[in-house]
Amino acid sequence: MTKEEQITAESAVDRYADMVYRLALSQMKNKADADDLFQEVFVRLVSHIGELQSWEHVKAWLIRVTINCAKKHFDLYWNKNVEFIEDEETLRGEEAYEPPSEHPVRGAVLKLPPKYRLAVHLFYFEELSVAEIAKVTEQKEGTVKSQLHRAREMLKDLLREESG
Amino acid sequence: MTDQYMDQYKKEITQVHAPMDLIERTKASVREEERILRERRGQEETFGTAKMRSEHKIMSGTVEMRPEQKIISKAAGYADEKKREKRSAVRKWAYPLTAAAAFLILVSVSLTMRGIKGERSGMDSAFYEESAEAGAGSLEEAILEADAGASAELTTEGVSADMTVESAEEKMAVELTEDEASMEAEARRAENIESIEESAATSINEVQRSTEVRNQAVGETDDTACDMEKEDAAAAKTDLEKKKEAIVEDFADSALAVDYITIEKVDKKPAFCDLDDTKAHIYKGKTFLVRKEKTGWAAYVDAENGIGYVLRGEIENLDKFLEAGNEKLGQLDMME
Repeated sequence: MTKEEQITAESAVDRYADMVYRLALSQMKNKADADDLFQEVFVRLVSHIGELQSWEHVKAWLIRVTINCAKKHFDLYWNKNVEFIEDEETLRGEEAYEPPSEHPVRGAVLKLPPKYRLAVHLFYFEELSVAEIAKVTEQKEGTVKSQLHRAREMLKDLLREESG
Repeated sequence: MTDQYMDQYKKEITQVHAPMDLIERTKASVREEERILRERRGQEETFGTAKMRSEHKIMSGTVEMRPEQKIISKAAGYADEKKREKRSAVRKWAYPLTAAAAFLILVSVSLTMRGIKGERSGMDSAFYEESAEAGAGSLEEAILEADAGASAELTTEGVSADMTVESAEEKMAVELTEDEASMEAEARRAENIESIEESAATSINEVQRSTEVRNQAVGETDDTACDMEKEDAAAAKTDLEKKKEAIVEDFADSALAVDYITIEKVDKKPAFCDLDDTKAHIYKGKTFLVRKEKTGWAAYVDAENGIGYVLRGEIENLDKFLEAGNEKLGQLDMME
């Protein structure tokens, strides 16, 4: 393997930063959490890089870990049961993530439930097959198909509302 | 339409990039993490290898060490060895000891259970045997005695009859003795029946006593056992009664019926021969003029010697009366 092709965590950051960031952004409620998730995923990669034998392997691993870490974040008691009295942006000093107005479809997708959002992103943007999505998300293929179907229906309604 | 939206989604997403500062921060974190990992692995390797090497060298004795190092290393090695030995020593004897202890416990438990079972069954069987033996034995003895008595009576009577026949001077004595003998036989019979009853009563009492004793010993009533014992006693009683009846029937049926016949020599025919209800019965060549009396029958017969005899007997059955009467005559003929 050449030096450029050598699989390291740092080279993986260069290669898959955008993919992980987009995925993190689609899963998290705000930018700050998405940034934390981004960093966490690549730091974790350091201790597992030796197990991964190809870039496809690394890509699949990154997607799976991003999804799991996002899930863990939402499953935390703090995030489930604590409601901020004030707006998050005031507390954090940062704005909550909102897609720009010129990206209506992104906006509509962000409004979908997390599972539907993920299925849509992986299918339409990352261009993974239903089987690959099922493997990564640890679901049945039928479940993924139904999620995609429902996501399309909801998106239609959302976008019709926005345009109408 | 959905495809159009999805294409638009792709375009919109493509415009999203990870911020450079985030990437830089992440890379820095990654490098830090890699360094920490390297150090940790290095330490583990160094430590692990060094320890293995030192142990190997000490064991093989290839390294020249300073005296204090030797002592320390020896002590360390010795301590290590000791620990190892202790660990292995514990393991060595623990398993067999545990197995032996478990085996002993099982054996003792099984022996205890067998002992308890054996005692109970032994006690039960002993009591049953004793009561059975007592009851049955006494019954059997009573029956045997009765039989023996009956047979003895038969033989003694026969012998006495034979003996008294031999002398003519003892004819009267014979008659007397016959009467006495019959009376005695009746008395003996009554005694036998009484003795049978007594022995039966004693056997039943013994059964009951043994039952009581056993119940006391056990300390608690065993309903099933008591029921069985009562059934045994009842069965013994019915058996006894049956035996008594059989004995009485035997008495009636046996040759002792002859004793129920009284014979009297007469010079002439008695008056009842002329009565209307007197009937002639021929039995074994002899003509018996028979009349039914209040108790039994009366008959007149001319014997072969020409002497007339009157026979009287308290036998209900005419045929048996005739048979007995004929026998009696036969005995007289032999005597004469």
